[in-house]
Amino acid sequence: MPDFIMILILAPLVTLTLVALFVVMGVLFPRQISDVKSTSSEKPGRSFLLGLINVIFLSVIVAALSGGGEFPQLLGLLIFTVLVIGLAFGLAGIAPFIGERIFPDSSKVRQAGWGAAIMIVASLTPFIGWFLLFPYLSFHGLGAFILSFFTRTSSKPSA
Amino acid sequence: MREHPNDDTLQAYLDDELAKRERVGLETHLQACPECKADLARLRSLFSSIESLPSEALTTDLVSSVLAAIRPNANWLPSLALGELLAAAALTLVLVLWLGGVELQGRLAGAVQRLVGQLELATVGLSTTLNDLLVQVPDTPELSLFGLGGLVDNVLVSPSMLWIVGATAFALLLLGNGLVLRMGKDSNA
Repeated sequence: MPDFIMILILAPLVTLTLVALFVVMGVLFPRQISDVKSTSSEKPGRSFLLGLINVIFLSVIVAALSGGGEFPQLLGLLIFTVLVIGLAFGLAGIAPFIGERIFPDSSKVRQAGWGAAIMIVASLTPFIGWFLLFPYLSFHGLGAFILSFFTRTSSKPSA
Repeated sequence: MREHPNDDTLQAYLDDELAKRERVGLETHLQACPECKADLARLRSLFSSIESLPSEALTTDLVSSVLAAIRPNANWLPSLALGELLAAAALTLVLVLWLGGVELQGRLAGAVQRLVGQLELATVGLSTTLNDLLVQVPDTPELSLFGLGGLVDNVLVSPSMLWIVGATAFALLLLGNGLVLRMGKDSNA
Protein backbone atom coordinates (compact mmCIF):
# COMPACT_ATOMS: atom_id res chain seq x y z
CA MET A 1 0.00 0.00 0.00
CA PRO A 2 1.47 3.40 -0.94
CA ASP A 3 2.51 5.64 1.93
CA PHE A 4 0.18 8.49 1.09
CA ILE A 5 -2.88 6.19 1.15
CA MET A 6 -1.73 4.89 4.50
CA ILE A 7 -1.46 8.47 5.74
CA LEU A 8 -4.91 9.29 4.36
CA ILE A 9 -6.36 6.39 6.33
CA LEU A 10 -4.37 6.95 9.49
CA ALA A 11 -4.80 10.74 9.78
CA PRO A 12 -8.59 10.72 10.40
CA LEU A 13 -8.25 7.78 12.77
CA VAL A 14 -5.52 9.46 14.77
CA THR A 15 -7.54 12.70 14.80
CA LEU A 16 -10.62 10.86 16.08
CA THR A 17 -8.72 9.04 18.82
CA LEU A 18 -6.98 12.23 19.95
CA VAL A 19 -10.28 14.15 20.01
CA ALA A 20 -11.79 11.38 22.11
CA LEU A 21 -8.76 11.37 24.40
CA PHE A 22 -8.91 15.12 25.02
CA VAL A 23 -12.67 15.06 25.61
CA VAL A 24 -12.37 12.15 28.04
CA MET A 25 -9.51 13.87 29.87
CA GLY A 26 -11.67 16.97 30.22
CA VAL A 27 -14.44 14.84 31.71
CA LEU A 28 -12.18 12.83 34.03
CA PHE A 29 -9.99 15.71 35.21
CA PRO A 30 -12.21 18.79 34.94
CA ARG A 31 -10.37 20.88 37.53
CA GLN A 32 -6.90 20.25 36.09
CA ILE A 33 -8.02 20.84 32.50
CA SER A 34 -9.90 23.98 33.52
CA ASP A 35 -6.77 25.23 35.31
CA VAL A 36 -4.63 24.57 32.23
CA LYS A 37 -7.18 26.35 30.05
CA SER A 38 -7.34 29.45 32.22
CA THR A 39 -3.54 29.52 32.66
CA SER A 40 -2.97 29.23 28.93
CA SER A 41 -5.29 32.16 28.25
CA GLU A 42 -3.96 34.34 31.08
CA LYS A 43 -0.22 33.63 30.80
CA PRO A 44 0.50 32.56 27.21
CA GLY A 45 4.05 33.89 27.09
CA ARG A 46 5.23 32.30 30.31
CA SER A 47 3.45 29.06 29.45
CA PHE A 48 5.24 28.87 26.12
CA LEU A 49 8.63 29.68 27.64
CA LEU A 50 8.22 27.13 30.41
CA GLY A 51 7.07 24.48 27.93
CA LEU A 52 9.99 25.20 25.62
CA ILE A 53 12.52 24.93 28.46
CA ASN A 54 11.05 21.67 29.70
CA VAL A 55 10.73 20.00 26.30
CA ILE A 56 14.27 20.92 25.29
CA PHE A 57 16.06 19.98 28.50
CA LEU A 58 13.92 16.94 29.31
CA SER A 59 14.54 15.66 25.76
CA VAL A 60 18.27 16.10 26.25
CA ILE A 61 18.10 14.31 29.60
CA VAL A 62 16.08 11.45 28.09
CA ALA A 63 18.53 11.19 25.17
CA ALA A 64 21.49 11.18 27.56
CA LEU A 65 19.91 8.57 29.81
CA SER A 66 19.02 6.33 26.87
CA GLY A 67 22.72 5.93 26.14
CA GLY A 68 23.39 4.54 29.62
CA GLY A 69 22.76 1.20 31.28
CA GLU A 70 19.53 -0.48 32.27
CA PHE A 71 18.67 1.78 35.20
CA PRO A 72 19.35 5.08 33.38
CA GLN A 73 17.26 3.84 30.46
CA LEU A 74 14.41 3.04 32.82
CA LEU A 75 14.76 6.49 34.37
CA GLY A 76 14.74 8.01 30.90
CA LEU A 77 11.59 6.11 30.04
CA LEU A 78 9.99 7.38 33.25
CA ILE A 79 10.88 10.99 32.44
CA PHE A 80 9.63 10.52 28.88
CA THR A 81 6.33 9.15 30.21
CA VAL A 82 5.94 12.14 32.53
CA LEU A 83 6.67 14.45 29.60
CA VAL A 84 4.03 12.73 27.45
CA ILE A 85 1.47 12.91 30.28
CA GLY A 86 2.23 16.60 30.70
CA LEU A 87 1.83 17.14 26.95
CA ALA A 88 -1.49 15.26 26.97
CA PHE A 89 -2.81 17.41 29.82
CA GLY A 90 -1.51 20.54 28.13
CA LEU A 91 -3.10 19.80 24.78
CA ALA A 92 -6.32 18.68 26.50
CA GLY A 93 -6.39 22.11 28.14
CA ILE A 94 -5.63 23.95 24.91
CA ALA A 95 -8.46 22.17 23.04
CA PRO A 96 -11.37 23.71 25.04
CA PHE A 97 -9.51 27.03 25.01
CA ILE A 98 -9.64 26.99 21.19
CA GLY A 99 -13.19 25.62 21.15
CA GLU A 100 -14.43 28.30 23.52
CA ARG A 101 -13.10 31.04 21.29
CA ILE A 102 -14.56 29.58 18.11
CA PHE A 103 -17.87 28.33 19.53
CA PRO A 104 -18.60 30.51 22.59
CA ASP A 105 -22.25 29.39 22.88
CA SER A 106 -21.71 25.63 22.63
CA SER A 107 -21.54 23.21 25.54
CA LYS A 108 -18.20 22.48 27.18
CA VAL A 109 -17.94 18.99 25.71
CA ARG A 110 -18.66 20.32 22.23
CA GLN A 111 -16.12 23.09 22.70
CA ALA A 112 -13.48 20.57 23.79
CA GLY A 113 -14.30 18.19 20.94
CA TRP A 114 -14.39 20.77 18.18
CA GLY A 115 -11.41 22.59 19.62
CA ALA A 116 -9.40 19.37 19.65
CA ALA A 117 -10.48 18.46 16.13
CA ILE A 118 -9.59 21.87 14.72
CA MET A 119 -6.30 21.91 16.62
CA ILE A 120 -5.25 18.48 15.32
CA VAL A 121 -6.34 19.09 11.74
CA ALA A 122 -4.53 22.44 11.73
CA SER A 123 -1.44 20.73 13.14
CA LEU A 124 -1.52 18.27 10.22
CA THR A 125 -0.90 21.14 7.77
CA PRO A 126 2.38 20.31 6.01
CA PHE A 127 5.43 22.09 7.40
CA ILE A 128 3.60 25.01 9.08
CA GLY A 129 1.48 22.66 11.16
CA TRP A 130 4.18 20.08 11.77
CA PHE A 131 7.06 22.37 12.62
CA LEU A 132 5.43 25.57 13.87
CA LEU A 133 1.85 25.16 15.06
CA PHE A 134 2.10 21.78 16.76
CA PRO A 135 5.34 22.59 18.61
CA TYR A 136 3.87 25.94 19.63
CA LEU A 137 0.69 24.31 20.94
CA SER A 138 2.69 21.59 22.69
CA PHE A 139 5.03 24.03 24.41
CA HIS A 140 2.14 26.31 25.30
CA GLY A 141 0.06 23.45 26.70
CA LEU A 142 2.88 21.80 28.62
CA GLY A 143 3.96 25.12 30.10
CA ALA A 144 0.39 25.96 31.09
CA PHE A 145 0.06 22.54 32.74
CA ILE A 146 3.26 23.02 34.75
CA LEU A 147 2.29 26.58 35.68
CA SER A 148 -1.18 25.52 36.78
CA PHE A 149 0.34 22.63 38.72
CA PHE A 150 2.73 24.89 40.61
CA THR A 151 0.28 27.72 41.21
CA ARG A 152 -2.62 25.61 42.39
CA THR A 153 -4.14 26.51 45.73
CA SER A 154 -2.85 24.67 48.78
CA SER A 155 -6.27 24.52 50.42
CA LYS A 156 -9.85 25.35 49.64
CA PRO A 157 -10.67 29.00 50.24
CA SER A 158 -12.72 29.61 53.33
CA ALA A 159 -16.30 30.60 52.73
CA MET B 1 -54.05 49.73 57.71
CA ARG B 2 -54.79 53.44 57.84
CA GLU B 3 -51.53 54.82 56.46
CA HIS B 4 -50.53 54.40 52.83
CA PRO B 5 -47.99 51.59 52.43
CA ASN B 6 -44.56 52.54 51.09
CA ASP B 7 -42.84 50.93 48.09
CA ASP B 8 -40.89 48.47 50.26
CA THR B 9 -44.10 47.12 51.75
CA LEU B 10 -45.70 46.84 48.34
CA GLN B 11 -42.63 45.06 47.01
CA ALA B 12 -42.65 42.67 49.97
CA TYR B 13 -46.32 42.01 49.22
CA LEU B 14 -45.52 41.20 45.61
CA ASP B 15 -42.72 38.88 46.76
CA ASP B 16 -45.15 37.22 49.20
CA GLU B 17 -42.95 38.12 52.12
CA LEU B 18 -45.53 39.83 54.35
CA ALA B 19 -46.98 38.19 57.44
CA LYS B 20 -50.58 37.08 57.12
CA ARG B 21 -51.87 39.88 59.32
CA GLU B 22 -49.98 42.56 57.36
CA ARG B 23 -51.05 41.07 54.07
CA VAL B 24 -54.75 41.07 55.03
CA GLY B 25 -54.46 44.66 56.28
CA LEU B 26 -52.75 45.75 53.06
CA GLU B 27 -55.31 44.01 50.86
CA THR B 28 -58.09 45.74 52.79
CA HIS B 29 -56.35 49.08 52.30
CA LEU B 30 -55.82 48.44 48.59
CA GLN B 31 -59.52 47.80 48.07
CA ALA B 32 -60.30 51.22 49.43
CA CYS B 33 -57.33 53.18 48.01
CA PRO B 34 -57.09 53.50 44.22
CA GLU B 35 -53.81 55.44 44.56
CA CYS B 36 -52.03 52.54 46.30
CA LYS B 37 -53.68 50.11 43.91
CA ALA B 38 -52.18 52.07 41.02
CA ASP B 39 -48.77 52.04 42.75
CA LEU B 40 -49.00 48.26 43.16
CA ALA B 41 -49.94 47.83 39.50
CA ARG B 42 -46.99 50.03 38.51
CA LEU B 43 -44.58 47.95 40.60
CA ARG B 44 -46.00 44.69 39.27
CA SER B 45 -45.63 45.93 35.73
CA LEU B 46 -42.06 47.07 36.44
CA PHE B 47 -40.99 43.71 37.87
CA SER B 48 -42.66 41.72 35.12
CA SER B 49 -40.93 43.85 32.50
CA ILE B 50 -37.57 43.34 34.27
CA GLU B 51 -38.15 39.59 34.36
CA SER B 52 -39.01 39.54 30.68
CA LEU B 53 -35.67 41.11 29.70
CA PRO B 54 -33.36 38.73 27.81
CA SER B 55 -30.41 37.48 29.84
CA GLU B 56 -27.17 38.88 28.46
CA ALA B 57 -24.04 36.76 28.49
CA LEU B 58 -21.08 38.46 30.15
CA THR B 59 -18.26 39.31 27.80
CA THR B 60 -15.64 39.07 30.56
CA ASP B 61 -14.98 35.85 32.45
CA LEU B 62 -14.96 37.20 35.98
CA VAL B 63 -14.42 33.80 37.60
CA SER B 64 -11.02 33.21 36.03
CA SER B 65 -9.82 36.77 36.68
CA VAL B 66 -10.95 36.64 40.33
CA LEU B 67 -9.32 33.23 40.77
CA ALA B 68 -6.15 34.53 39.15
CA ALA B 69 -6.11 37.42 41.61
CA ILE B 70 -6.61 35.07 44.56
CA ARG B 71 -4.14 32.37 43.55
CA PRO B 72 -0.86 34.17 44.16
CA ASN B 73 -1.69 34.42 47.85
CA ALA B 74 -2.28 30.68 48.03
CA ASN B 75 0.80 29.82 45.99
CA TRP B 76 2.51 26.83 47.57
CA LEU B 77 5.66 27.06 45.45
CA PRO B 78 8.56 27.45 47.84
CA SER B 79 10.03 30.90 47.46
CA LEU B 80 13.54 30.48 46.14
CA ALA B 81 15.74 33.49 45.59
CA LEU B 82 17.71 33.78 42.36
CA GLY B 83 20.96 33.20 44.25
CA GLU B 84 19.61 30.01 45.78
CA LEU B 85 18.55 28.75 42.37
CA LEU B 86 21.94 29.51 40.87
CA ALA B 87 23.64 27.88 43.83
CA ALA B 88 21.50 24.75 43.45
CA ALA B 89 22.27 24.55 39.74
CA ALA B 90 25.98 25.15 40.30
CA LEU B 91 26.11 22.59 43.10
CA THR B 92 24.48 19.98 40.87
CA LEU B 93 27.00 20.69 38.13
CA VAL B 94 29.99 20.51 40.48
CA LEU B 95 28.76 17.28 42.03
CA VAL B 96 28.21 15.66 38.67
CA LEU B 97 31.50 16.87 37.24
CA TRP B 98 33.28 15.53 40.30
CA LEU B 99 31.53 12.15 40.06
CA GLY B 100 32.01 11.79 36.34
CA GLY B 101 35.39 13.44 36.27
CA VAL B 102 37.40 10.43 37.43
CA GLU B 103 36.59 8.41 34.34
CA LEU B 104 36.63 11.41 32.08
CA GLN B 105 40.08 12.47 33.24
CA GLY B 106 41.77 9.42 31.74
CA ARG B 107 39.83 9.72 28.51
CA LEU B 108 40.58 13.42 28.17
CA ALA B 109 44.27 12.81 28.78
CA GLY B 110 44.25 10.18 26.03
CA ALA B 111 42.38 12.47 23.70
CA VAL B 112 44.76 15.36 24.29
CA GLN B 113 47.70 13.03 23.61
CA ARG B 114 46.16 11.93 20.34
CA LEU B 115 45.41 15.48 19.33
CA VAL B 116 48.97 16.50 20.01
CA GLY B 117 50.17 13.57 17.91
CA GLN B 118 47.90 14.60 15.07
CA LEU B 119 49.10 18.19 15.28
CA GLU B 120 52.69 16.97 15.08
CA LEU B 121 51.85 14.91 12.02
CA ALA B 122 50.13 17.90 10.47
CA THR B 123 53.14 20.10 11.19
CA VAL B 124 55.42 17.59 9.52
CA GLY B 125 53.05 17.46 6.59
CA LEU B 126 52.98 21.25 6.31
CA SER B 127 56.73 21.39 6.24
CA THR B 128 56.73 19.44 2.99
CA THR B 129 55.24 20.74 -0.21
CA LEU B 130 51.48 21.35 -0.54
CA ASN B 131 51.22 18.56 -3.06
CA ASP B 132 52.80 16.07 -0.70
CA LEU B 133 50.43 17.12 2.05
CA LEU B 134 47.38 16.67 -0.18
CA VAL B 135 48.53 13.21 -1.08
CA GLN B 136 49.42 12.37 2.49
CA VAL B 137 46.19 13.42 4.15
CA PRO B 138 43.90 10.68 2.81
CA ASP B 139 46.54 8.05 3.58
CA THR B 140 47.01 9.17 7.18
CA PRO B 141 44.41 7.44 9.35
CA GLU B 142 44.90 9.90 12.23
CA LEU B 143 43.95 12.84 10.02
CA SER B 144 41.05 11.19 8.20
CA LEU B 145 37.43 11.75 8.97
CA PHE B 146 37.22 8.25 10.48
CA GLY B 147 40.04 9.13 12.81
CA LEU B 148 38.06 12.11 14.07
CA GLY B 149 34.95 9.93 14.24
CA GLY B 150 36.82 7.53 16.46
CA LEU B 151 37.83 10.45 18.63
CA VAL B 152 34.20 11.48 18.90
CA ASP B 153 33.15 7.91 19.65
CA ASN B 154 35.76 7.54 22.34
CA VAL B 155 35.51 10.88 24.07
CA LEU B 156 32.48 12.98 23.17
CA VAL B 157 29.89 10.20 23.37
CA SER B 158 31.36 8.35 26.29
CA PRO B 159 29.15 7.37 29.25
CA SER B 160 30.80 10.11 31.28
CA MET B 161 29.95 12.66 28.65
CA LEU B 162 26.36 11.49 28.51
CA TRP B 163 26.25 11.72 32.28
CA ILE B 164 27.58 15.27 32.19
CA VAL B 165 25.28 16.34 29.35
CA GLY B 166 22.28 14.92 31.20
CA ALA B 167 23.27 16.54 34.47
CA THR B 168 23.94 19.89 32.77
CA ALA B 169 20.55 19.70 31.11
CA PHE B 170 19.03 18.89 34.50
CA ALA B 171 20.75 21.85 36.13
CA LEU B 172 19.63 24.16 33.32
CA LEU B 173 16.11 22.74 33.53
CA LEU B 174 16.07 23.44 37.25
CA LEU B 175 17.37 26.94 36.70
CA GLY B 176 15.03 27.70 33.79
CA ASN B 177 11.95 26.42 35.59
CA GLY B 178 12.89 28.27 38.73
CA LEU B 179 13.45 31.52 36.87
CA VAL B 180 10.20 31.36 34.90
CA LEU B 181 8.12 30.34 37.91
CA ARG B 182 9.80 32.96 40.06
CA MET B 183 9.16 35.57 37.36
CA GLY B 184 5.48 34.78 37.77
CA LYS B 185 5.63 35.11 41.52
CA ASP B 186 7.30 38.51 41.20
CA SER B 187 4.75 39.79 38.71
CA ASN B 188 1.88 38.50 40.84
CA ALA B 189 3.22 40.06 44.02
